[in-house]
Amino acid sequence: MKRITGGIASAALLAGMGFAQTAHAQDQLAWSIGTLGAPGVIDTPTAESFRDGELVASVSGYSDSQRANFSFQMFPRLTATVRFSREKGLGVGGDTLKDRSFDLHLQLLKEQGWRPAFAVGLRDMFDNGFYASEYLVASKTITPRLRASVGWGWGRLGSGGSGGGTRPAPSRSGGLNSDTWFKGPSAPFASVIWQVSDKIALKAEYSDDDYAAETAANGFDNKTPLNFGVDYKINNIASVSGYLLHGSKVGFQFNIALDPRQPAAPSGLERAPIPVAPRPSRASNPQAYATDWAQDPTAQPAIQKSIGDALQKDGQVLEAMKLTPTSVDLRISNETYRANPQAIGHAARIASRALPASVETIKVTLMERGMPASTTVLKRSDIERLENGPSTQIAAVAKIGESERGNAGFVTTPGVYPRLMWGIAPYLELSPFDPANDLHADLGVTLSGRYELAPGLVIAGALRQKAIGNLDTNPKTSTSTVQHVRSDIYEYQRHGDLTIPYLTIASYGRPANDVYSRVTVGLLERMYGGVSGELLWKPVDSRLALGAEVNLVKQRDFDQRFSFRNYSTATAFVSAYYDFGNGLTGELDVGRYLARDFGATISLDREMANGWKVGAWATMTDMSGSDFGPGKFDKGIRLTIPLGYATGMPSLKSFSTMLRPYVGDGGARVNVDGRLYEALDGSQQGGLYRDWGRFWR
Amino acid sequence: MSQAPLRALALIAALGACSHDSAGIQEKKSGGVKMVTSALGQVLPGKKKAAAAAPQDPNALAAAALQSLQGPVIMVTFEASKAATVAAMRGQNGTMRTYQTPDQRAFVLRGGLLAGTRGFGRDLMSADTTAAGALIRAAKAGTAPRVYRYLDGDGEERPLPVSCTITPGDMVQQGPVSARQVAEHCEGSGVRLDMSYLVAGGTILASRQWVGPALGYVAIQQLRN
Repeated sequence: MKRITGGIASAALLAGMGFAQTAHAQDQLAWSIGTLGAPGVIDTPTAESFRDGELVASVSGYSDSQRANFSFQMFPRLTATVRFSREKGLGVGGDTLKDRSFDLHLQLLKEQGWRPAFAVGLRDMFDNGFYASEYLVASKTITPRLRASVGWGWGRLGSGGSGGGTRPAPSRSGGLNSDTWFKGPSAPFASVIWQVSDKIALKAEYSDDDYAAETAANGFDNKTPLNFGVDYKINNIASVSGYLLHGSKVGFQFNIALDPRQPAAPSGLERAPIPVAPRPSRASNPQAYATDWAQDPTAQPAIQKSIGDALQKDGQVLEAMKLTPTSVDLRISNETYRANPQAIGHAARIASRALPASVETIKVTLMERGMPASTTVLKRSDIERLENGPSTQIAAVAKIGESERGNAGFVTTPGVYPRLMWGIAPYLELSPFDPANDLHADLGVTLSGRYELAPGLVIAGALRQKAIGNLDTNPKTSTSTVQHVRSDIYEYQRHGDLTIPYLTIASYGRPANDVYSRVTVGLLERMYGGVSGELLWKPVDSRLALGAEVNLVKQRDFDQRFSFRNYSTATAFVSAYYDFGNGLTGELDVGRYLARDFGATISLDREMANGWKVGAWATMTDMSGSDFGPGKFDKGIRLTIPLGYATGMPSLKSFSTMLRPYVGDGGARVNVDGRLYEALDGSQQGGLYRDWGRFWR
Repeated sequence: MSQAPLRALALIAALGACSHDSAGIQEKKSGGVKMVTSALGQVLPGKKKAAAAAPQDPNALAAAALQSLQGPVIMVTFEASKAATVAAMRGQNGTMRTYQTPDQRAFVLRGGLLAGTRGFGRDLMSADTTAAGALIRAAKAGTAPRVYRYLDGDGEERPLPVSCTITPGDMVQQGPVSARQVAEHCEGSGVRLDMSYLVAGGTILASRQWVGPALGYVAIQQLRN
């Protein structure tokens, strides 16, 4: 069986549990965040790293320069940084340069004994490369409060140095500037950080960045290669810094570091589960195990009502139940707990209180969009025996497998279908990031509704009304030279009056063993309407899943009501999904995209058991880089933070965001709600084992 | 800004977010609002949640609980916060008893030894207490391993094994019954724990037990067994 729990508790656990953190020197967790948002002193980098998975947002700058950095520790040794910046006087014709840039920082070796930690980094790898530099750096913890670093830098970090000839000019075409890396003049740099107290750190560095562009444009006075700074830690999340740059400028920085491993309440603040009610022993009371109750026609409805009511109080829906004298199959829709094992554990305990003693087998079937997604088979005696024990023990005796597909023998719980849900919520919409333009935004209200006629048959729609905003005055228009399949976003955003973001009818089903299906018809998303169909082969216990999808769509009018524009197309994909374990999932989609271009999308997502999810994707198609426009191809990163991380309360809700630096018309897909893999992922073996520690929660 | 957008803004603010579900499940409040306010609360310095209700007089609490609750009742006092709560038995499974507080949190005791908590945020998920429990209830000297288990920040269950030495102490008169003091000292996994029990006739009447790194020690008193 797959490993489902972590190793022995250690300092890291104790830190997560509220003990003071005494980091091992070997880990070299960053003491300081540089002005470019990665582990560093001021302008120079260190060989430190952030905590695995940590998300660090920082704003830094001085009078002529402002930077917003978002760094993410993608893997224990790899830090990625995305930056939005404004530099006065450095743009075309002396305008302010509004730029975005991307860095990678890789820790090659950890600190060990006498050996310092080593790291290599690439700053501002794409496009005009204003901050572009490359470095090798070593950092050593000299005393528990003093850490020193030395390194060698190229590009800006070596711009005051000599040798190496002339550095090639960056490509400025949006692509990687790999032919400039580690070329041109280079110079050493060095730094020290002294943690005076738990709150305050002093830092100093020698940096041979000549600030030539700033000197030429704004009269930056580069008096000395020495920079000095001070950090003040406000709390575990926030800190501020001040620094003196080359004896000339005073800068400030504000940092927020979110560690996904420090949720508000790891085990949750929700109320305690209902305890198991054990049966009398068969020896002492054989009469209790009789099965004559099954002859009583009122027994099944009474039991189903009792379990259904208890589950409803627990935030779950008992969709249907199949009861025999010795077994029960509960089809539940978990609508509260992010971790499905918690929902299964609750259902099993509730069942132990309502079922006659002769029912020994308790099956819990998770329903996703009306489809039975997996069945966990538990022996009632195991539930009684192992209650509140280690989750590994119950995992060893629980069998997770394919569900019964048909409805034979199942009794639908009265009153669940048809089911109507509606909600009103405010929305905020922003214009896509554009360095040359100001940000535009709309604020308004969305009314959304969902009518479930039967399990797996759903009508869903939404209506939007803008209340205030200036998206309609955004002067930007698409300059794409190919079919505007996505780049007309500005035209769609200009219309905020009573739009219909989506209106669909969808049918989900189980056509064969291990196979799931979806058909969606209607206004699929704000830009496209039509028909979308999908098939997914995903055995409950398989790491591999295969899918196929076909969409026949027509582009919607900009007013986003019922009319269409004169472009229709068919897109089709075959997909392979693979669960690598430890929450890492890869996906490969190959097919035809919206602009009739052919190609493939590769994505990699990493999900922690507490629900944090980070991923990246890239799409390459036969559309040329110049047709795509800036950025050359579609790529981006996405982040999901579960609501429960911040509140400690169970919830399926989460906050998701996506950073897509360049929106083009190549490699674009229709956004359809309810794609099968996402719908099923948490309910099958991989997802269940990941969250299994919450079974008795 | 003209009047109309202002009014619209006011309407949005008033609506906040609301929802309806014919099956009565879906949450009513907006998740986004909760997340933002909670995140701000964590980031902004000095803005701390109001302190928990002032500690009540434990004797009054115990008397009221015994009157209003049926069956076994315990009183639990968190050492760090001095917060006291009563809990009534909600379930019994062999020697394991689940006691629930009025605000629906729970303490799980196995033969009087703390084997779990629920609803406190950094709960003890489970604990192996069998060997230590046998020595303590018999007031016998000896050593026993214990394993505590917690959900870590990742959401994974992690064991915290310790090794415990149990030392019986003096007899004390507890009202009409005479009870023996038993001390337990545990070490391992970077923690050192000191727990103590008052045992009479194989039953733990009162104890000081460790919940976990975040919740610290609790005093548990068996008000009615």
